[in-house]
Amino acid sequence: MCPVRVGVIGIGGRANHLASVLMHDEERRGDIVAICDVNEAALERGRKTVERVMGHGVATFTDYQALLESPDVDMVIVGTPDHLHHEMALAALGAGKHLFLEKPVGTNLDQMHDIVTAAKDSGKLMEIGYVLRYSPFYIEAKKMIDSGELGRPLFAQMLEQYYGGAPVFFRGWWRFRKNVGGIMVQKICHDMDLWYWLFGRPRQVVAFTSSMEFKPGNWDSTAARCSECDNHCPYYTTPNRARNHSDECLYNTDKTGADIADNAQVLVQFESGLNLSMGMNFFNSRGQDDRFLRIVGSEGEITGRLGEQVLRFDPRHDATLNKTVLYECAPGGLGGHGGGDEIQILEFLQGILEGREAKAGRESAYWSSILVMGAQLSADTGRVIQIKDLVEKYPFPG
Amino acid sequence: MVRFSGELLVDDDGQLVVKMPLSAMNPELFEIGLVEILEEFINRRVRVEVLPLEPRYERRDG
Repeated sequence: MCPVRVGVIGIGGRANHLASVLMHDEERRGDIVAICDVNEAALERGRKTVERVMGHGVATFTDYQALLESPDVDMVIVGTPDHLHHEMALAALGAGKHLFLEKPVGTNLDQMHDIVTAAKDSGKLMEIGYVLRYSPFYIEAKKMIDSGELGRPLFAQMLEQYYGGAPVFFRGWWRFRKNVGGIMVQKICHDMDLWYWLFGRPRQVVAFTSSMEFKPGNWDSTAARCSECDNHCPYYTTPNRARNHSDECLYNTDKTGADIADNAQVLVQFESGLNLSMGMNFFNSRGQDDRFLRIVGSEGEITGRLGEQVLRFDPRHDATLNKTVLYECAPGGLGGHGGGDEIQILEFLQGILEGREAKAGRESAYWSSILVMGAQLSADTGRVIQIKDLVEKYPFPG
Repeated sequence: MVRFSGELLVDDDGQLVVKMPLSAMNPELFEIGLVEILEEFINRRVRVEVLPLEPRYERRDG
């Protein structure tokens, strides 16, 4: 079977990683034939990498439209900043390409609806970078729900703590809300896709965001950048312009223009009646960096950390703990997002070869966005958002 | 803090050992004595919690 001919638009961290997985796939389901970036140094690094690893040349572009015009490209990976997703996704689908779109699905509901509609109308396959569905940790949790092992899901709590997110999200393009649509849209759309997958359709959502740590006054400095600062904080860094590695102050957001929140709490009620709460923050202790899960079912309770790939199961009515078991979901050494990064892109390629959608296609794109953008709307307006209102305004295109 | 997982065995000398990899990068399994694993905590109060660990990944069907 001929490999899928892949074009990569936006050679940043995420797309680079996906490309690397694809290039090292022993089954060779994909072949990178074209790459595009406005950063010519990154483009040149990408060209050399493809030539070294895949053993052939690659077409390079600084204009993504030119890449899309190439008849040699079957599928594109769009890994550009979030505010470009809408424009590029529509162009890619309009050009008749299968699409792997990094999350989120645009930065607002209008954009999401355009993208999902375009995917349906194009007849091409689309996959959103919701990698958590592909992590063995969550796959096992879903199996325990679907098999009845956990009983009826009754209650759920999730937490994401991301120490390393602070320097990422308060430097570079992520720090501007207009680029990401809000911290929840950018950061926990992953998780909301997961909840839809596990618990079905949501009924209502309420959320709160704030800036608790990364704001002026919480570090004794007035500098806009590390290179101008004489009181280095633990996030001190040196800039590397060639790699877009900047050194904006995480604290002095009045100087850097950062206007995103550094924490959020969300409460969702699903149509089943299940209530789920989730928190996320960027200021946790490093030793507590992870995604945490707790699902209480009618037959027992599972808890665990994504990074450990272990689910603890406590049977509901056993007080002795003698029946408590740790379920190991995967052997050690998994990669990003609990192994999801590696598995997803290859499953999408396999789906293209077999003419079928992978796991995070149009339906996933739609419902996760309805939920996360509803949560963002709640945080912005202070209202409880009824999901049916959003569905009426933005019906699922199919 | 130390955290480890592996198969708990009694070796030829009657000592409790855990058969486990030494690092995530090397899948080879070694039998490590509990004394060796825990020696930095000797003479300190510790909390020890031991639970059975059952692999599920062999049953994964994608």
